[in-house]
Order: sequence, then C-alpha cells, then structure tokens
Amino acid sequence: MNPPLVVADPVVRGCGERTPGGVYVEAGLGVEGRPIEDFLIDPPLPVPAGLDLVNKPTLWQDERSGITHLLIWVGAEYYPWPADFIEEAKAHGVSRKLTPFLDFTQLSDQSQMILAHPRARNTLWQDQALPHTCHKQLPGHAAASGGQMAAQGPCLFKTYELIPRAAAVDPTAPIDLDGRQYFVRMIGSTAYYFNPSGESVVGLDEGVFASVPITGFALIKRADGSVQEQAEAALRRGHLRYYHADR
Amino acid sequence: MVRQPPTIPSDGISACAIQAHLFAGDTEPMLDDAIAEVMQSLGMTEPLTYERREIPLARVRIPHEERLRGVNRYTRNIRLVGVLHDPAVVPVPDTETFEVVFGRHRISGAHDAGHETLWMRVYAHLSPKVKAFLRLTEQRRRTLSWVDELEQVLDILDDGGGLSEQEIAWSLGVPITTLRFYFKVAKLPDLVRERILVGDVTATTVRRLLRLGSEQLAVVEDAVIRDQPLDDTLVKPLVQQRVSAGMQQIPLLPTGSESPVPCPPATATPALGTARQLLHALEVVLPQLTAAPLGSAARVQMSGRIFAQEMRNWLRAAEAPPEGGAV
Repeated sequence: MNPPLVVADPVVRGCGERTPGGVYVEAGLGVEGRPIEDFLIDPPLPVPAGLDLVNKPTLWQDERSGITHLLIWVGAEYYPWPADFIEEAKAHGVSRKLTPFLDFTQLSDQSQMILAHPRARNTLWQDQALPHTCHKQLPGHAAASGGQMAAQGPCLFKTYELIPRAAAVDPTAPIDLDGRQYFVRMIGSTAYYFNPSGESVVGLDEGVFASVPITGFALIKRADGSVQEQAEAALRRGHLRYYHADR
Repeated sequence: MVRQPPTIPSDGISACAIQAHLFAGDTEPMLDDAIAEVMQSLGMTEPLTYERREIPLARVRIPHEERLRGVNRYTRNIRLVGVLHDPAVVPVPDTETFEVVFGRHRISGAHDAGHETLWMRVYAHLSPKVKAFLRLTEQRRRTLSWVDELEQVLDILDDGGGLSEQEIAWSLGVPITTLRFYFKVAKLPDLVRERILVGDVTATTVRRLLRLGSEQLAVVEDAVIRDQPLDDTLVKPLVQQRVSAGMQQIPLLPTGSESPVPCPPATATPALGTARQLLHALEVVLPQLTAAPLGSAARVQMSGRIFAQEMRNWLRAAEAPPEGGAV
C-alpha cells in the first residue's frame, strides 16, 4: 500500500496563488522527513553549460541511474533572493507550476526536482567575509565554527547576508540579537529574518542550489470542478501520484 | 515647415525617365516613440526627404550581393505583379552610380526578371548610421522570416553602422532578446552560419546550436561540410551530451524506497525572546504596509496578520504554566 501523499501547503507564495486549471509539481513536508538543509546543494554549483532553463522546466535523464529528473528555474522576478525560496520551502514545501504539455510519463516516484536560481552562487566568496552561519555546518563555511578551515567554494547561506537591508519589510526596524541587527523579510505567506552584511551583490551568479524529492502533483480545480485533463491523463499513464486541489 | 530639397546629382541619368518631384507630404510618419528616440540620437531632427526617380539597374550597386538568398522567389513575383514598393538608394560620391540602402532582393529580382530600370527612392548622402537605421526600419515594416531579419543584422554588424544594441532592436522592431539571439548566431562558425542563412534550418534547431560548445560545434561543421541535414536529429543528442557532462557534478539524493522528504521546521523553533522581538517588529511594520505602494500590499498585510496571530498563539502556549501549576 502506498504511504499517504505528502503535499505542499496551498498558501499564497512568492509567485502568487495557484491558478485554476494549473498543474503543480510538489515537494511536500513530512513529519518524519529531514531538515530542508539536507536537500540544499552547498556550495551551489554552476548551471551546466548548454542548459537553457529560464522559464522552461526541463527533463533530464541521469544516465547512471536511468531516472529522469525535473530541472526547474526559480526566477528572480518572484523570488529575488535564493533565501526567499528556501524559507518558503522550509515553511510550506515546494510547489512549482508546470506546463501541462510536459511529458510526465518520463518521470517516476524516484524523480527529483533540481532547482536553480539566478543569484545562488557568490562568485566573490573569496574576497568577502565568511557568513556568520552555515546551516549545513560545512567546514570552512562559517565564521562562527570551523571558519579557519579552507572552504571548497561559496557558502549558499552567505546569500542570506548579501540581501540588502532595503529588501526588508521595514529597513528602519532592526531586531538586535547577538550583537547583530536582523530585519524581517516577507515573501508570499512566509516571513523570515536576515542579517545584511552590506557587502556587494555583484558577484551573485546563477547556480543549482537544491535537489528535492517530487512527492506528487497537484491539479487545481477550475470553477466547474474540472482539472487539466491532458496532464491528468499523462500523470495516470506515468503512474505518478497526484490529487485534485481547490487552490 | 519648409524643407530643403536634398542635393542629388542629376547629371549622368539623362537616360532615365525622370519624374522628379519632391514628396513634400510623403515622408514616413514616426512609427513610434522608440523610433523617434533613435532618430534623435542619430541627430535626425527632421524626417528624411527623398526624390523618386527611375534609375537604370546597371548603375545600381548592391552591397553584399553574394549573400542574397531566395532571389528566385522575388523574380517570379516581380514577373507577375511588378515591384510594389520602391527600393531606396543613395548616390555614390564622384560617380554616376547608386548604392542600395534597402530593397536588395527586389532590385536583384527585377534585374533577373528582365527589368532595365526601376523606380527608386533617392536619398541624399546618408551617414552609415542613418543607412543602417533606414535598412532596419524598412525591414521592420515588412513581414519576413527570422532568417531575413538575421541576414539584415549580420550585414549591419559587418558594416559597423555604429548603432547601439538598443537602437538596432528598436529600428528592427524586435525585442532585445531576439536581437541578442541574432548576435549569438553571428558568432557561430562561418560554415554553420551560412547554412542557417540558406533558410532550411528551423529556429528551434538554431537555438539548440547556440547551446553547444566548440567540441560539439566541430561535429556540426563536419556535418555541414558533408552536406548532411542540419536538424534536431543531429543537434539534440549533442546538446544532451553536453548537458549530461555538466549534470554529473550535481549531487542527487539517494534513490530507493525510503527516499526522504523535507520536514516542517519544528526543530527550528526560535527562542521565546527572538519570537517576541519578531512579533514586535511585525506589529510595528504591519500598519505601515497599508500605505505602502505595493500592488500586493493587502495580500502581504493579510499574510503578516495571519503570521502574527499564529506567533501570538504560539507564544501564549509556550509561556503558559504547566498543567496543574499555580497561576
């Protein structure tokens, strides 16, 4: 028997509300799961040459395992900073809209969502201060612990500190903690706080920053209760787990 | 407004049936503000004027004539209906010849169709920038395939007209992304580029070509030399090969029946003090959001209120005395 379907929260997200008739791939949150940090790729990796991901969810078959994965671009127009997406995923799971014409039958229950963001890699990492915290606790990634070890690349969590203060909900209302100033940032239904270092963001470049499991697909109902038929048929043919949702 | 007639040499074209009149009210209207802006940046404060003359084709020079493709289709068309729109030329200084500004296919097609003369717009001397501008603007006004647009852009790049990227895009009437696509095509190996200009390669395949590295492009060049079809059957596997090489670096989750999922941030509960400070910050910020000039201010405020309420509830529960304890 299949375990219960783990679904993402149907909340207002950085990219807005889910649209009727839409098809969404999800990575839901499960109480027996692992912290989101386990799914983050740190240091973020360059987007492979030859890959054109922008606004085009792309299927890629891993020749080693034969499993097809879904490569998805998280655009800066809705998630200006990687932290926006990561914090939303941490709180509500991942939900990304797909074209109903994607060949879903290539995917399987082993498929993963590989996520890239235009500002995930800090190419100036060697010239800038270590981040205060690396939530993956990688050696050499953070000033707080083990920071003297040589890092093997930029720390993903440095991108939190590179968010400019002006991106806060109220840049004039800092919260003092540990002798540092934090600001609140809101994206969709998610609020989180960050500690801007004031350093340059010009080194931020596109990178692959996460790989999360695909837990299922949500087909959002239209006003008459119907869903995207073509996508549903393909999901059924591919033996993929999906559900109908009001929003 | 009084316009000065352009200075056009009238000698040397006595064989022409001259219908010399200035088209005082026949200058092209401004297409839109973007065009006007380009014209201003080129120092064109007034609309251009021209004369309409019948000119012997023997005296017309066609730049990049060797690059013209599909002239046959123009020839057939011209035999049937004639030349519907006048090409444009400028006089070549100190000669009795003219150089084509736009309408190269029409002139070449008319020649092949047996025409000896053709009515043309004759502009006075134009700077390279203005010539490039006119060529692109005229291109914009005709519905042609992307290959024709590409050909125009390649000519402009070769001639070094001096227009900026934005000016070319506006003049041609294409988005800057399309123009950058053409620029990328211009950087492909010569043989591959020439093959694209023949017009039998789809835009999708060309976009895939742009994703190849030098190693894969060498394979494509080789195929072109051997006159193999330049299509997705050849290009798609090369793209996949390149992507796969890069994807090997991406660490994937272990596969198997116990693939993990992310968990809610229950263990990331902030300390009570932090939560109080966060709540305080939200309460300070929320009233300001109403007045914020944000399209989604109401939504943000609603989300913030829900978040704040949840945090209040959580704080209340966390600070409540244990069951059975004294109040």
